[in-house]
Amino acid sequence: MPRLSLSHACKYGQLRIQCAIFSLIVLSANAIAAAPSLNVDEEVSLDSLLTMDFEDLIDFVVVAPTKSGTRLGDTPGAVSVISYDQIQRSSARSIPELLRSIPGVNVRWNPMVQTIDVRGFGSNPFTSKILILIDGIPYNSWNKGGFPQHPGFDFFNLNNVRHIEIIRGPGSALYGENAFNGVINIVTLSGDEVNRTKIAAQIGDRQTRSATLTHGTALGENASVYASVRGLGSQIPTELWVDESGAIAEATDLFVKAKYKGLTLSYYQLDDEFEGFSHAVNIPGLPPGEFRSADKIEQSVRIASLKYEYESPDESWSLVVNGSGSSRDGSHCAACHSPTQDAEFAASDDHGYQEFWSGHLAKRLLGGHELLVGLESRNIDAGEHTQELQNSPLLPLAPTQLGIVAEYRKNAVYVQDQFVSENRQWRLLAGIRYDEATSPFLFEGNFFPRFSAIYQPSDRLTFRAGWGKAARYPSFSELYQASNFLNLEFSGGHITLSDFEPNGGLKPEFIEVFDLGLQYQFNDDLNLRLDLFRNRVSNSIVIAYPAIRSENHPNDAVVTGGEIELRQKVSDSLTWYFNWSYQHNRQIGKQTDSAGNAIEFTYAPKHKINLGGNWRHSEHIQTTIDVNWKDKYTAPSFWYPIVFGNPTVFSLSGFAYVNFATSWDLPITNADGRRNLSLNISGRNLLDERPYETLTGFGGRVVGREFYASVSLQFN
Amino acid sequence: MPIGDNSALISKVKTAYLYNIAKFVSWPDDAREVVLCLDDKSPLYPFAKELANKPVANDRRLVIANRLASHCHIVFDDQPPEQETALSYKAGSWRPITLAISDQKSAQHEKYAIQFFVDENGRLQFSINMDAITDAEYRISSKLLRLARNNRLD
Repeated sequence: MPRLSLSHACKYGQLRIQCAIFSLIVLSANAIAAAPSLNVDEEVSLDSLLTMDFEDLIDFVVVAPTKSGTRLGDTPGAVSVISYDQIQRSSARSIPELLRSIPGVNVRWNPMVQTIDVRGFGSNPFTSKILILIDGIPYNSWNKGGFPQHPGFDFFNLNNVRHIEIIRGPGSALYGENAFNGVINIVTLSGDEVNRTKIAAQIGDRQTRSATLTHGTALGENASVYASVRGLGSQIPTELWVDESGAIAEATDLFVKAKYKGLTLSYYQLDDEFEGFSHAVNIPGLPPGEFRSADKIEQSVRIASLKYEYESPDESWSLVVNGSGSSRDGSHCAACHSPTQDAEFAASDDHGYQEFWSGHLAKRLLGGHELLVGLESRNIDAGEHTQELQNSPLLPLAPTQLGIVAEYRKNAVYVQDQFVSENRQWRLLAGIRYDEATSPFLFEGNFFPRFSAIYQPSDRLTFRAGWGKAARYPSFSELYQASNFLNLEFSGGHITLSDFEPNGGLKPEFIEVFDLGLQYQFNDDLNLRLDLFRNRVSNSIVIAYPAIRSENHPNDAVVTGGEIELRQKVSDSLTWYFNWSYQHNRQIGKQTDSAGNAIEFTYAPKHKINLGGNWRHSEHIQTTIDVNWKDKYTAPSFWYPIVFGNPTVFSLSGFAYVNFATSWDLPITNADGRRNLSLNISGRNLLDERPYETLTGFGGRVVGREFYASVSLQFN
Repeated sequence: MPIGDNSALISKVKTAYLYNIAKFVSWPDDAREVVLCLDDKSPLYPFAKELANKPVANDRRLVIANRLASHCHIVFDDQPPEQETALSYKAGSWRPITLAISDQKSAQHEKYAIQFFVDENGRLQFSINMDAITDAEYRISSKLLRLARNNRLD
């Protein structure tokens, strides 16, 4: 069944081609003291299996349980998976930090959040070209396009994550807008997989301290419940927050997930509060002053979701229905940028909601075909974010009176056919999705096609080719934001240095992608993967500096490149990986935007290299080391005179982050003889690099080396 | 970051199951070998070849042969029914001495003595069809019967 069928197909040995291109979860029994249900090790040798007692072999997990699988893995493409085990042994404290090691993925801190992009370019800070899913349900902000939380460290508590699936390439044929350069699916833990209680505490640099309590349990054979709560205090690791302001953020998050047979209910809530920041400013000709935020910046994000999955007893068809509601309250953008514009902007306001419904039916047909048909409906509302749109904070006018669309519904239908040849060497996939025009009208209807072919002449070798189109719709902010961008405060008042400029005529940007892939399994322990791509972007949405105005650039942009990755299990105690990504950017045409600018391929280094390994010193101690190196890159020309006093655009130096994490199951055993107490020491950016990951007017450097220590205790 | 082949893992685990089953079944003939037959196009075949000469029950050794061989003690069938060719077995045509195992949930499943399947927790399980083994000439040990998950056929 195409949407669920990755784990389904794998479990029956069918569609091995599909399985061959999907990265599976790698879990280690030692990472979870009493949870054999998470024991999946794709690298295990046949000899090891043959030495196991049959009772233990029956406990061995071979696939991600179907109920937690999503359609993501059914999309043939360059797919990577970060497994539960890798999450546990990594030094990363957030999902974006984990993603830094994925080929083709570029992550950078900006003053508010970590921006994630895949094979992309551009200065938009909001990860709006990547579709973010949680258990298959879209989570992108309706106001900004990317993460709903800003400022923010992360968008979902890593403690609740079972694994993360990353598709490099367009996903609009199944998921619609925002699945432009890639799709990230966060798959959460379930109670029957965890089956324990865990308390964890962490302290570290940037005044970090956190405490987490998680509990999961199976309730009979058909039900389970999982719950997690965390309190966190820390700082965003840039000069502005740490060195200049000493501003601390505190957050609490709660996640609950209940399952009964095919039904899953979940609820996630994040509440955070940031202390304000300030930066002294001295501009010749102007009184000395400061750029500062509101004294407090707060937000609350809530997501409730419902999923029902059913598969017929003969497995000839399956049905999945999803529904979710998400909302955000909090400070306005201007609370960071220009709180003096209006006192209302510092207050916590309703920032709207998203209602999402989707359902798909998958049916196996004769002749090796599997057909999937789906429907989707989405309703989004900007809420009181409209106060910042069209510069109307003091006007009690409705959006329609202002001439803006601040709420719309959009429906879509998609269909996909997969064909598998009789000898199972060929798999062909054709899919198309139609998104109808929004209601009320803001964006017209669009088709998103996708074709791919996979050829697997042997168990060791797989070839892949694909073509597809995707789109990214502008966010409400890009269309209508009209509040002040930067206010300089001084003793006599404030001066507005720049404003957001709305562009109600902004159109979606489109991408057409050709990609090729190869995977070769030298043996059970050594794997090679190569992916090549050519992306052509039209209507590219750029910021037309010096105005803070989003526009569709008249030139097309072409990004070509590739990624290569090697991974090897040297022994039972040592694994390593290496990946190298390359991209080349150019534009087609000689036109400029309204400010006279060509497309600036900012924050798009040509080369990225990641190298890492895990060494298990003993049964109870292991160390993971990662090196993330990024080549030089340029920033928007607008910022160079402000930051460097020099209008010449030069490349910002590349840099390498070296990270490590060592975990030790302490020699304190419980009545069953298991070690339930673990200590973890980690360090990030050991070379103390302080790059401008994002160049902004002030305080943009990353703050350098940091260390953390955590301890966790598990109860079976 | 991991990029793996899940089908290889499943094939390995199924191969290990076949080996374990061969250890818990006894046959009345005097052969020194237990012949395990499967399609050479099966994804298990490269792994099953590694089982050759491994010891099983009653001091016998495992031998791997093509599915169409005439003296199979165990047949493993992983071809979907719509992909069976004219040369393939029809379910039920095996000799009473042959233990037929499948991982295909097909209309013919009642003809197989043992069926592999993956449960809700992602674990490979097997069920034993008691009707199929009633008149068989092989004998399944009580341990194997206990490990079977027979509720799948309900």
